[in-house]
Amino acid sequence: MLADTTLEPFFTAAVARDGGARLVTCLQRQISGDIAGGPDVYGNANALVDSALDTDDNGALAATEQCQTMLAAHTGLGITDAQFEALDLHAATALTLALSDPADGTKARTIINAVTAALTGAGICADIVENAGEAAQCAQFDPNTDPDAP
Amino acid sequence: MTRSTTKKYGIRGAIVVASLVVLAFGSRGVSIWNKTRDVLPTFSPVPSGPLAPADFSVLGLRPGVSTFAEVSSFTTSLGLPCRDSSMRGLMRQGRAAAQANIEAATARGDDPDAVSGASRAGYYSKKEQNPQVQWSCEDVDLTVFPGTTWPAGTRGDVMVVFDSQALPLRYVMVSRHFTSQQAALAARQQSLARFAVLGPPTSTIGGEPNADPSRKAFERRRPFQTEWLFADRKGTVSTMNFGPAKGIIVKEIHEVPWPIVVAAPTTTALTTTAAPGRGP
Repeated sequence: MLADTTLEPFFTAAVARDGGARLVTCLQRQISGDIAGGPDVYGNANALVDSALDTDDNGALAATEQCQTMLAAHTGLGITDAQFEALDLHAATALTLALSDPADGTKARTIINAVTAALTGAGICADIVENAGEAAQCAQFDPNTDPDAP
Repeated sequence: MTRSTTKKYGIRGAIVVASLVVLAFGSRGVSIWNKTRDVLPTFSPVPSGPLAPADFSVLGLRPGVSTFAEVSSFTTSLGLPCRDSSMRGLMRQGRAAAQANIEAATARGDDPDAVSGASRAGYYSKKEQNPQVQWSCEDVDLTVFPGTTWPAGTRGDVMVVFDSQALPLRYVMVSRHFTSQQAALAARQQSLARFAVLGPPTSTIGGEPNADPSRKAFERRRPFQTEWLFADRKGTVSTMNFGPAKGIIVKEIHEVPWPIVVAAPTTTALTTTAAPGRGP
């Protein structure tokens, strides 16, 4: 994602702050909670992030710097369906590359579908994609919906 | 309280209030300026290695050559509806839309504070410091691009990216959506044929889809990516089935790999005719 010209600006601040460590931590916890059923729960992630102190947008020291909800982290950014689509493609491509074991293709597909559902599923899409008309397309990101169509 | 004391505190009070107002508006102004000033990312030099063929282009637009002014006037001349879908562009459009809603509510005599998303009219983010421009033309007729060889009626999304309005083109992407497996397969093969002038691919992910018409070529969320990586350029053809509503997407991307600095212009700005056999 960070090497994608079209997505890089969304992560500039996170990378500049700590090399993206906190972002990765939050995403790991999101996946852990949503796929493995815990113990991490992204919705309760405020208690999970270890780096407690940081500065806010005005440079003031914030009391805590916690994982935000997907909705809070993306509200106001105007993210489009096309940008979310690019994210979905990156997730599927990276997982396909990481799990490219022809002898165990079915298992790999199961993992890919589960992880992409956690990262780019319909519910998260609806929290991230802002335009109401485009957000209506989020249902198609649910891998449990008609998985082999078209 | 004596008259002189009232006058004294009145003047002092006015000064204090005025100072607070100036400080408040001044502080907000400084905050907005800081969040929206141009801060370019750190680019890296072109590494050593083979360079891409200089004359390859997608839609006649060449990374390192075309400028934003040229491309925006070009797409306007073609009658294409395009907008800036960068972080900065989207946030500016969001503020403008919220402000328009507030003004419309006010004109109707409604409470502007009750307008949904009203707070967005004054929302700024440090993410806007990045001056990148993502010039997006969605669901357009691709055959209007001069010199291209798309079949009649071919539609798709085009995105052209500049690191800033002052810097040359970095990235060109054409994305086509298909609801037919066989149509998507043919489109992918056409794209690969266009990129074949770059030589053998340097990497592939997912192999190639099954061409047997009795079998499904593109299973849901199974990506196929073919890449040509040079020191100064990268070409990518990627295809994935996003599901029944969005369909199968075939993307062609020609870009200066991130975060390598975009080379200064060295040739003509826009290609108006494609080289023989080169296609779109």
